[in-house]
Amino acid sequence: MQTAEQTAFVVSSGRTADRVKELERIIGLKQDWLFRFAYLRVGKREDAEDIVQDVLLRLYRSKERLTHIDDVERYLVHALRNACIDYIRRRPPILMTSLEGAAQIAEDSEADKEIRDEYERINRLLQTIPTEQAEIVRLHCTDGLTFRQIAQVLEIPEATVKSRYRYAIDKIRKAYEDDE
Amino acid sequence: MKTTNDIEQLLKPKATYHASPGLKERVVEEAVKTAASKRGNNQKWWWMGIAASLLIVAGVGWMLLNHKETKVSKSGERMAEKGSQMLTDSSAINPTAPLLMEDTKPDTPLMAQVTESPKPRKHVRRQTVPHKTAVEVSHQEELLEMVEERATPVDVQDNDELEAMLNAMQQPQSKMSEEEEYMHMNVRVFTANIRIRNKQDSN
Repeated sequence: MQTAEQTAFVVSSGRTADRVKELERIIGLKQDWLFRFAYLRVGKREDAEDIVQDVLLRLYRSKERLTHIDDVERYLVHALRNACIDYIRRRPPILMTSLEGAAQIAEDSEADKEIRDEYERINRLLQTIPTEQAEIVRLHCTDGLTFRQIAQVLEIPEATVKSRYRYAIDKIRKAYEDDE
Repeated sequence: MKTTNDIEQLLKPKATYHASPGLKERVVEEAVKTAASKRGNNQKWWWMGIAASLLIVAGVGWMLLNHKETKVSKSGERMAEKGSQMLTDSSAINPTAPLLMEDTKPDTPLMAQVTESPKPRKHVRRQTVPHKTAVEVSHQEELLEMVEERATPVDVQDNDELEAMLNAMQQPQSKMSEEEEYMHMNVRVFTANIRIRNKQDSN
């Protein structure tokens, strides 16, 4: 995860060229991390990229309204998380039939197969715990956020985050051992 | 027995995630498009603003012009009223004075005379302010001298007539100007003196 200094969005001038340059810099630094964040929630490359694109454009547009975005990390995590939740809510209950799934896997490249396997493995583990606990585990383990950052993003006390995380890990461990 | 660290390691992603190379281009292209449309919108608003301000200026100008015209017409009306008032006032100064024959048109029918608008200014001027020429003034002075000369030998016995004459002179004639009153008085005195003289001669 990048530090806030690296991605600080300095709103010094309102010129379009400067703003576009700033956006390009942010994309260069963050696009892979943003893509992973979205992919591990939605499980589809195209959809994950669309979500990332929307969030970045929203950030670009919101730059005019916000006088200064001091923490781009937090802004992006918040926006991306909300966009993923919206996507999952809108998505039809049965995503793919087994045939469509097979076709999708056949189309995937080697790298995409790898990330798909990882997505399925992580999701299998997180399915055993409640959603709010799963979200904290995702943000901490897969996205690399600290407990303080998670507390800020979810707007809950840090102690609550820690306790939920502990409960979640215990449940996952139990489920994993039971499987074995 | 798995530790917390082991479970965390299980949950940590190991694969490398790369977004498509076209993502950056797509986002930048969209951003530029958004900026251009915003600029276009801004220009549209500028033009609308200019048009609206022009309309306001035109409206204010029209209102000012209209106000000025109303003012002029009102002052014209006031002047006309004043003029007509003056005319009525001046005609009321001596309403008993006989009309001059010049002003009537005997050949034209009566209705035509009534409907025809007379020339009030000319008429009034003749009625109100008698324009005295030098000849008239000298004639008046002569008359006055004559009155003064002849008035002296008036007999005391004829006082009744003189008193009656003076009484008549003291009747209020508010409608006549001072000059006219003076003239009238002089003429009456003159005629009275002539009568007295005639009486004395006959005696």
